[in-house]
Amino acid sequence: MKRLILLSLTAFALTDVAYAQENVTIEEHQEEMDTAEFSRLVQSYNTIIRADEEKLNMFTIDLLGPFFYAISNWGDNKTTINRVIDVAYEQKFSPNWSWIVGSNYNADRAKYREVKAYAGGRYYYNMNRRILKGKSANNFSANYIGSTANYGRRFHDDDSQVTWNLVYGIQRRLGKRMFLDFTVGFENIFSAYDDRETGTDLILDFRYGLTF
Amino acid sequence: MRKAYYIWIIMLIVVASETAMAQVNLQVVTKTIEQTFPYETRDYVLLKGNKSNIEIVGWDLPQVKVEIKLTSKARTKEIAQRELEFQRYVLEKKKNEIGMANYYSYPEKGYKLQSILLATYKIWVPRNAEIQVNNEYGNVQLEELVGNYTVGNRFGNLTLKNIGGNGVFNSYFGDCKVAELSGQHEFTLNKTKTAISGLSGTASINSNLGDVSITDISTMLVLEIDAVKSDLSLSLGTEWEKYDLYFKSSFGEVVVDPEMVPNAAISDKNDLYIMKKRGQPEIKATTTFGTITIAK
Repeated sequence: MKRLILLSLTAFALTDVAYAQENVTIEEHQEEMDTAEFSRLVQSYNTIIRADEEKLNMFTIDLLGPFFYAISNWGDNKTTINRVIDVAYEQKFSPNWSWIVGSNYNADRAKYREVKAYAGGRYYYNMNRRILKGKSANNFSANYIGSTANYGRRFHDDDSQVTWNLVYGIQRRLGKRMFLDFTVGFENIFSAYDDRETGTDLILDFRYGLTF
Repeated sequence: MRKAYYIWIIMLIVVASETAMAQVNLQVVTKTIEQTFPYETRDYVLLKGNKSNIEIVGWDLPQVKVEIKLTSKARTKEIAQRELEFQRYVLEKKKNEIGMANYYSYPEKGYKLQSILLATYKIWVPRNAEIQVNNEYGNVQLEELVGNYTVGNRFGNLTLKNIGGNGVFNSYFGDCKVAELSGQHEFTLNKTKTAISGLSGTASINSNLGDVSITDISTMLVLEIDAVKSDLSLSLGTEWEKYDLYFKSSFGEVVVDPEMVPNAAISDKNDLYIMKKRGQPEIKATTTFGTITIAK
């Protein structure tokens, strides 16, 4: 696992420094222009420029978990634990990097099982590629590599779990208010619930819902 | 006389004041980004321009040099500086792809610009470089190149100078000016007025609602023009007899230089002209609702 982290971080670093000799200069001067011409140009620029909205934060609510919870009326209750509530908040701090915090409440039809909270970061590695291809680049629609620290608590058993996840994800905003987020990766369990063992597990997750 | 003199003075003042009022003093802020990438075999340049003017020139160095100028012109320096930041760019090399793009990002949806934002690229590439360009609302110019190209431009002019190699060019709503084109090229032109001078090699031109004029044709292997609702004008040069010729205008007319008529077949309606000798390179042009003018 440590090797994987080291490899990922080295890869990110290399992509940023490989051609670092970019030279940026800023100049200022004045010029005169016909007033009517200037107004006409500004007006037409407002019409023709297709600008992306610089969305720097996103609040998401998953709808898949509640849906499956609502329809899980069959069989043994304990086999169908669902995320009844799953919310997350993500904030960009550079074009390719963001931090994310979230929480989910898991339950079956009989009783609630656990509450989880997590915090971490995401690196959207193909944002530039999407821009180069002329695709939507509204800051949260891209593929990413993410890492989160997770804390889970089962209050009724007075039991808790601490994990650290490293995932590969695909996130897309769908229209103005919907999103989907698919992740696959490793869950490294440092401190396990009584009925689990420490170690590394594979995880797979799919979220689809509302975004604000 | 004195009264007329006063009237002249007043008119002069009015005109002068109006002229002065009609000018606005603009603050111009320009950010210049320069970057050089090493160019290796199988590398290619991918450029996604957005309302930008692009000039790509071939050179002899094994490098790709890029100079992007992002400009903001506004009434005050504060606005110019603030709105310049709305212009973003991507400049990177990943594996064999040298990618560059510019785009616009507003802090909020529906933001109203108060400045004129301009983006220009000047790019130097090895002459045989592979280039893919996609741009809109700006001009694209390629010079001194012999590689492979795919160029698409919407709402702007396309200019090619001394171009060889293989190219696929798409233009929508603009002028297309070409000087000295050789190699193998394909044009898809829509609502584009096209002027080509100095053409050799193989060319296929598809034009819709845009006149095409070609002069100085030499050493042509194949020239095929398929046009719709367009006038075509071709000057075949002194060696015009070296080619098989086929010109047809549906619902239009073919006008041929009288000296080129004797050995050719011309339809009664003057809408078809054929002069074919087996095995010669072919120049073929068809159009609808337009005139094909052929000269030596």
